[in-house]
Formats: sequence, C-alpha cells, structure tokens
Amino acid sequence: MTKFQKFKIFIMTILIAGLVCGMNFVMCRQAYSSDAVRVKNFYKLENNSLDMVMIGASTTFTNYSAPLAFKEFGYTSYSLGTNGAPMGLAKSMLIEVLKTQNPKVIIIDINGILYDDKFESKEGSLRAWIDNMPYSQNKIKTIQELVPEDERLSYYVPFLKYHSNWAKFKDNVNASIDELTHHDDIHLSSMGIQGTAQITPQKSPIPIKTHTQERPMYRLSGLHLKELLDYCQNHGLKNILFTNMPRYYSKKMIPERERNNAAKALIHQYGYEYIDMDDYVDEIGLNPQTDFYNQNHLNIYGQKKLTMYLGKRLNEKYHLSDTQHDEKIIQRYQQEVTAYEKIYKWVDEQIRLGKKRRYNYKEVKEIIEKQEI
Amino acid sequence: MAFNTLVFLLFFLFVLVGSFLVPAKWKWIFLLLSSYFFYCYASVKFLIFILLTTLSSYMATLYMGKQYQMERSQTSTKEYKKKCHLKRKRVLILTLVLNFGILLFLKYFNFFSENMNHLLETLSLGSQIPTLHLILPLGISFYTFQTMSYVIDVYWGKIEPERNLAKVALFVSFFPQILQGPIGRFKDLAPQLYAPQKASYRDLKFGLQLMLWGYFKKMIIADRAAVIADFVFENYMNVSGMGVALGVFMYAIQDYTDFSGCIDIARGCAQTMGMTMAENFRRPYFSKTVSEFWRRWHMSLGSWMKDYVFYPFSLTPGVRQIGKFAKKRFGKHIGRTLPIALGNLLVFFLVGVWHGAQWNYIIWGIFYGFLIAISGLMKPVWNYLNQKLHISVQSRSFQLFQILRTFWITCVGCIIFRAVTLTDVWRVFLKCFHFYEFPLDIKKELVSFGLNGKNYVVLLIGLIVLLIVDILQEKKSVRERIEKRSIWIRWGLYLVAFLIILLFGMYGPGYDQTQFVYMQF
Repeated sequence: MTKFQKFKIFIMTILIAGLVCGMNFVMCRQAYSSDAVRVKNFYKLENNSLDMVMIGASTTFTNYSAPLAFKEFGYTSYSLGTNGAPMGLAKSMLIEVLKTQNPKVIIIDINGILYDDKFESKEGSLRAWIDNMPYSQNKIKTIQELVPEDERLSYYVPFLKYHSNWAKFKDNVNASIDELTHHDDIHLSSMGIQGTAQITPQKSPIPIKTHTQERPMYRLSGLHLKELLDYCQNHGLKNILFTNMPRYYSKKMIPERERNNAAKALIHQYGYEYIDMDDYVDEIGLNPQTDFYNQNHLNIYGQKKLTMYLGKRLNEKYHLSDTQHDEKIIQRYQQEVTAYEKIYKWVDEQIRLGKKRRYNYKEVKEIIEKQEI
Repeated sequence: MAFNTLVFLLFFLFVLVGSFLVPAKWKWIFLLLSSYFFYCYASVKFLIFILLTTLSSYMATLYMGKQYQMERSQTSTKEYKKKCHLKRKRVLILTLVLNFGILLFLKYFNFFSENMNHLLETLSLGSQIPTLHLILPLGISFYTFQTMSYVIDVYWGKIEPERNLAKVALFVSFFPQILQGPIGRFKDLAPQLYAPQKASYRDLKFGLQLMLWGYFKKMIIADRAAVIADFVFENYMNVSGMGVALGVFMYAIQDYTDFSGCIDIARGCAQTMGMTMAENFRRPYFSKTVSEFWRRWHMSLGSWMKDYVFYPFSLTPGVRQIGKFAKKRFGKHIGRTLPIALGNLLVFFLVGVWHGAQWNYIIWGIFYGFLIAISGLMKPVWNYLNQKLHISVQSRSFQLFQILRTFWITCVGCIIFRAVTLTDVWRVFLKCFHFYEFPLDIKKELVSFGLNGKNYVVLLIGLIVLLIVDILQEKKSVRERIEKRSIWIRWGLYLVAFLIILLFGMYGPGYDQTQFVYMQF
C-alpha cells in the first residue's frame, strides 16, 4: 500500500468517525422532552449554587416550584426528577447531585416505592434519567444495577436505540441547534417545568391521616430504598429529608398509604426525617376540589400552596435563605421567576378556559419566549 | 456473533487491523485463532463437533493421499493398486458416514422419531421412539459440506491433502463463511488462506464496499420485508388477498436480500483481508427459467450438488441403463434427458433435506426438482408451441414474460418454504389468487402488518435502489463503475451509504439480530 493510499484510509476513517459522532449528537436525544432538559440543565448549573435539591419522580416538578421558592424565600433550589423515576434511580441521582452541589438539604421524594418490580426496570422511566446523564462510573453502575443484562448494550451505546428516531430527524436537528447555541441556558429550572392545566375534583375523599397500618413494600423498590438509606448512612449524609407528596385517596389506593407507612418506619429506623405531606394537607391548605390535576399530582394552584408550605418549613429548619449567592446566580433566578410568572398566568388561563392542556418543554419554551405578563 | 451486531463489527475491526499488522507469514495463524474465537463466542460446547470434523477429514485425507500415491507408483503391482484403492474407498466412506452421520443425527433424528411415532400410532403399534434434546452446532450444514468436498476431492486425486492440521482447521472454520457459506472449495480457498501476503488497497476498498452493500440489503430491505412477511404468514386468515400476495412477495424479497446480504458481508469481509470467496448469488430474480434460477441462487450449494451428487449419480451404471432403455423406447431426447431429470430430482430432494427437518423443505426441494425435470423433458413441446404460436423467444417482451413467470414460480416456492404446515401452504397459495381483493381500508391493513408509513417509504426506496443496482450489475460490475468516478463522488457515495445504514438500518433493542434466515440451516 502506498503512502497516499494510507493517507486516504486515514482521512476516510476521520470522516466516518466524524459522521458517527455527529449523528450520535443529533440522534441520541429525547427531543422536546422535559425530562431530558431538566436533567441536562442540572449539569449546566454553577457548582455549589443550590441551597436545596429535590430528587424523585414527577411529583418533584409538578408539586414544587423552584422559581416560586426563590421569589418567596430567596433560596435557590432545583427539582431533579424524571417522570416515573423508580426508587432505584434515587441513589444514582443523589450521587450526581453530590458531585457538583453542596446543598443545605436534599429532599428525596419516595414516590418510587409505589412502583412494583416490573416498573423498577421499565425502559422509558430508566432512560429518562440514564440516557440524559453524562458518562461516569455512576452511570455504568446505575445501568448494571437497574437494567436487565440483555438490554444494557443500548444504554452504553444509546445510538443503538435512538437511531430509530430518524422519523423525528427535524426535531432532533432543531434541538441539537438549541443545545449548541445555548439557547435555553438562561432558564435552567423553568425549562424543565411540566404539568397539566386542569382541575380534577376529588369525588369521594376518604380520610387517610389516621390510617397507620403498614404493608410490606414491593421487593425491588423496598430493596432500593434500603440501599439508598445504607448509602446515606455509610457516607455520613445528614442533610437528607425524605418526603411523600400529597395525593387524594380512593379505597383502591389504601395499599399505597400502607406501603408509605412501611417506608416511613424504615426511614425512621435509619434516623432520617420524613415528612408525609398527606398528614399536612390542612396545614398546606390544599383543597381537593381545586388543587389537583389527577390523583397523584398537584396543579399549579396546589403547587403554589405546597411550595409556600415546604419553603417556609425548610427555611425555618435549614436557614436556606441565609446563603449569599453570586450576583450572576441571583440574576438568573430572577429571570426564572419572571418565566414562572408567565407560565403560571398561561396555565391559569387554560384552566379557566377548561382546556385541560398538558404542557412540557415545547409549550413552556413558547410561553417564556412570547407571552407578556 | 451475527454480522449485524456491534460485537461483530468490533471483532471484524480487530481482525482487519490485525491481519495488516501481523507478519504476512503468520497471517493464517492469526486468522485461525480469530476464527476459533468467533466460533467459540457462540458456544464452546459446539467446538467438539467442528474439531471432530477437522480431525477426521485431516486424518482421512492424509491416509487417502498416501494410498493414492502408492496407487500411482509405477513400482506397485496391479493387485496392490487395487488394494490401495479399496482402502481409500473404505476411508472415504467411513469419513462421509461419520460426518454426514453427525449432521443427519443432530438435524434429523427428532424429525425421524416424530414421524415414526406418528406412523406407529396410526398403525396402533405401541412402541415409541424417544425424541432427544439435541443441540445443532452453528454452521454445521455449511462446514460439513465444505469439508466433505475437500475429502472427496482428495479421494478423487484432484488435490493434494494438506499436511498441516492447523491449516485444515482454518479451511474448515474460516469465520466469514462458517455461518451461512458460501460453501468454498479447497483448491480455490485454501491457497488464499495460507498465502503469505496482505490485502491490497483495492481489496480493502472493494471488500468494504461489498460489506456496505450487504448491510444495506439486510438492514434496510430484508428486515423490513421480514416484518410484513412474518405478520402475513402468521395471520393470513385475517388478511385480504392483496395483503397475502404482498406478504408472499415480501418473503421472496426478504429471502433474497437477507441471504445474499449476508453472503456479501462474508465475501466483503474476506476480501478486505485479501481473499476472494465463491460467488453465491447472481441476480436470481432476473432468471428466465427455473433451472437458470438455480444456477444463480445459492450457487455454491448448487455447484456442490452438481459435482458430488449429480454427476456421480448420472454416471452410475443403473442410471445409464435407464437412459439407454429410454432412448430405445422413447427416442433420443428422452434418452438423454431422463437421467438428467432423475439426477435433478435427487439433487433437489437433497437440497430440500439440507435445509432442515421439515416436510415443507422436502416438498419445496421436490417441487423445484420436478419443475426442472419436466421442463427438460418437455423442451421439444415448448419449442413446438413457440414455433406454432409464432413467439419470438428472443424478443424483450417474451424475455420479460419469462422473468416474471420464473419469479412467480419462485414465489410459489417461497410459500412452500415459509408456511408453517402443509395446510398453510395450500391456504396461502389459494389466497394469493385473490390478490385483486383489496381491504376496505388499505392504509389500515398495511400499518397492521407492523410497519408505519415512513418505513414503507424506506422499504420502497430500498427496493428501487436494489433493482437499479441489480440491473446495472447485469451489464457491468457496479464497483468497477464506481471506481471510475471522481474521488468526490466515490467518497460521497460511501459516506451516504454508511449514513443510510446507520440511520435507517433495523438494529438495536427490540430487534433480534440473530435472525439471519440461513443461519438456522
């Protein structure tokens, strides 16, 4: 082989490698997914810029608003949750948080203990977190611990999964351009907002506060909660607070309450604080007729009430607002507040008009960019 | 390690780089180690079978070679020569019985026992032959046939036996061809395997092109066509006539693109390392007759059958006697073609049996054997009809008719080959005749087959590309044509092809990469 031929092989190899990398960047994304934005934006935050981080499933971002908490109490926070996140992901999320942040308190919402063994390895829920986190030892460990062996390869090499997104090529290209141009970087928290503009009144509420009976947790979620508690204890993590977000109960949901009670007992055994929001519905001021968009999630009115209650309670105990943040961080959070107010106004309008609209990254982006307050 | 997996691509990359880096004289050892790694990756327990075949053929060929030399020696007496020949023959039969015996036992024992039990049950005889849990070693049909051709060639004195066991092991196990062929011949393949030379730039380039084309056929066309074909053959009762006809057509496409795609990958893979493997497909769907189809389809198996079954069978005294008898009784044409027809019936029966232990395959083989036999015997009748009806056999329209007719016949063959039971074969066949029966909602039915609209578009474009390339290839090698273009066009073409496979290829989670159709044989 001549030198020129070797040179041609070298150039072709570079071109193919470039093509693969380029396609990987464009295709391996969950375009217009709030989960993807929420996870990726977390890594764009300045190091040690958060006073509080909330970890868990959808309830972390539907029931709590970080911009509102900043507006009302002056502390910085972030909802690092993904839709349907199983309990097994909480440890992985916690490790990621501790890599770049040193918050005064980390809230772990244990919604994941309500998922059965099958759900613990549900592909969509796992990918919402794993595929959006950067490569690290923690990512590999998360895959090994939670993904069935025969499915792992496509988590290590996501292109194997995402190449079939070619039908959404245009969306992927647009999302890639947004990422490259840092288009959304001024609203890191707000861009991950997601919910439904709707009121679903509670028809026949049953009293739950007094129901203290316990029921064994599902095998895997219970095991993962225990592993998480062990991790916290072994690493001497004291600033951890466990929560259970409020929901309105029908008879069918009694077992959920009982599993929560079992989880509560286990958390207390390890000496960690646990706030069961179901016990504080009156203090929060939640109205089951107006503040939920479904049984498990608060709408924007309920979110506001819960944020006010939780923010006040956290501030009293952990003095979150005492931290002095850089002007840059404060400025960014003020922009988040403006964005939140726009979103609140839009959602409020939609509810009043009875439109029952779901909103995620795409809608949120449009609202932030277009709507005047 | 199927060719369309990431693991294979990494393995291939390793072997390719390695074959250029290791000293030329050690290249064959490197290839041997790579081939054994490839084989063991599937399962180490298969190793015993391939080792047995290697060892038995090595010892047999050495012995036969020695006997052959003695037989040829001028100092040997006539009686001694006869003794040597007999010894050679005994060793050959022993080796064939051993190797084909293993193949037959592993592949057909359960088929035999199930059918025998069925027969015993029908005859109300109580005894039962047990069915066994047998494992079928990877590529056993391919490597057994390849190795036995080597053994027979040595017996016939066509080639010298290889004295190095490791070299024989490489010939038996060479990784690109072990899963699905092509079934190589020792005299063609072995010198290339052992040659102490490295691949040229042109080999590398052409090999990679062929691999790309193979991946295109497999991952863009075959795997999409398979979705439709699988659905239709499993649910043909609930599908319209048009849908069933489409399903059969798609199976014909899948069968061709899947198998020939795999062969292209295998041949391309070997070419990147400087080896040219036997051609296995030559645009079979452009054939004008069924016998031409079989000269263009799975050519290495066809040529194996021709050399080791057809000719030896045709030359047996019994068959020659039949020919003579037919000539006397029915004339020259029948006298000449009847032994050929009998040979073809046997060959295609064996081709059917080779594919597996199912009645479908056997009937499929006989179907082709019968068609070829009849077309040969009836040739004077066709010629007469053409003359009487003033059909110009050289005209393009008649040739097109012949191509379409042959394709239709192969589609019938596909039904026999693919349908699960013989009842299914008949029902699917009948339903195909109602191809004009459209469903009420065509779009809904097409989507129900398992592909969405965008995937149908990709499949259609893939088929158009395949048709164009095959038409061009009929006239002149497409790779030679590309070679003459400027570097911008060539490289653009390579990168676009690579990108298309990367994006539109069927792979990843939810897709079973082991489903190369001919890997099961």
